[in-house]
Amino acid sequence: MDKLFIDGISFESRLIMGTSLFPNIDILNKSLEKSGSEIITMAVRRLNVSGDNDFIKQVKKKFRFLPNTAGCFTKKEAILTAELARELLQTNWIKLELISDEEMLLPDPIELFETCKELIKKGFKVFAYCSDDPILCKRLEDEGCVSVMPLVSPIGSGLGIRNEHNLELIRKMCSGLIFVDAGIGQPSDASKIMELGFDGVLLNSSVARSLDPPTMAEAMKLAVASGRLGFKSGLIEKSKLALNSTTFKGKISNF
Amino acid sequence: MLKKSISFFHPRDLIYNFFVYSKTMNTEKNFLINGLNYKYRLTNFQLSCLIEKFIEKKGIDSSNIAVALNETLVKKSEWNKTKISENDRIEIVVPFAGG
Repeated sequence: MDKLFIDGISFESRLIMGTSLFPNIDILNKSLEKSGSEIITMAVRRLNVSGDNDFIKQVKKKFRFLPNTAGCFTKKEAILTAELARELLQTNWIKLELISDEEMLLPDPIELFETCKELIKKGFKVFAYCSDDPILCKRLEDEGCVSVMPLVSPIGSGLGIRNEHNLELIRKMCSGLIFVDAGIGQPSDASKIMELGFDGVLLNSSVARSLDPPTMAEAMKLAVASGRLGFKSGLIEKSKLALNSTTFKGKISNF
Repeated sequence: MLKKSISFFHPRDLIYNFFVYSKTMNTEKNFLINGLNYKYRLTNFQLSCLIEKFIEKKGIDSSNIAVALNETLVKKSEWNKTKISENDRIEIVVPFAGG
């Protein structure tokens, strides 16, 4: 599979894994291993005075971290969270999540756009989690985001691709990196996204909440690789009529 | 009039100043840390001292935390140069599982 370049760094894997919701740390580690991912997402949360604060040390393999601003509703909250993440994880990468409501967890496009501008000015490399609106994706890309990350359906819903046409438009309009970052339910969703020419997939719930997360992680790895290889080898044009693969020439006769 | 002016080195004022100083230093101050009220008796009003107090006995490594004071990030290198006041709002965060 061709290498992926983000911020001048090359990666073999096009699958970014979330680290939340796994039944335990062993299953998380096994799943990350099986996924072949090189980048994992992480959140920033208040220190737990009576609990475990060593999450990062429990992740066995070395990964590149993509911290997120999950749960932020305002520009102010998101910027401070990004700054704390940068201080904590020593990376200027930030997956900017700025949501507008608690029920659907949909991104707030207006607040998101303004916050992106501010974070870029502050030297962050922004991965913008956004809705699957081609114009918004294009505007975010033009503003200087490292990657736009449209959802295909609400976070954790597992509903998969709801608007394939929009995804096609996004790919057509944006020349930079595009990852899909929410709503994937099954490996075929990941594969489909990659076949559409997207640069990668970020997922969490579909693996963590499955019955066998390490095996599902492997399935996602294969699906992403399969979709990418399919895209790179040039999918055939669709036809409304059948086109025979076996020639009629030389057929014994028409009885 | 002249007698009323404050002279730091006058024995009477020295005693008074010491009394005020020690009273201030020995009073518990309230800080809002991670959304909860904590009272600490500090001898030094540097952010680094408060953090040390907060994480001591909790087995937390200060290299794994980041801190904001009144909604502004304070870099680790600035903790011992940053003054704190009563009722300051402090956020102490760690990396956590996230998607």
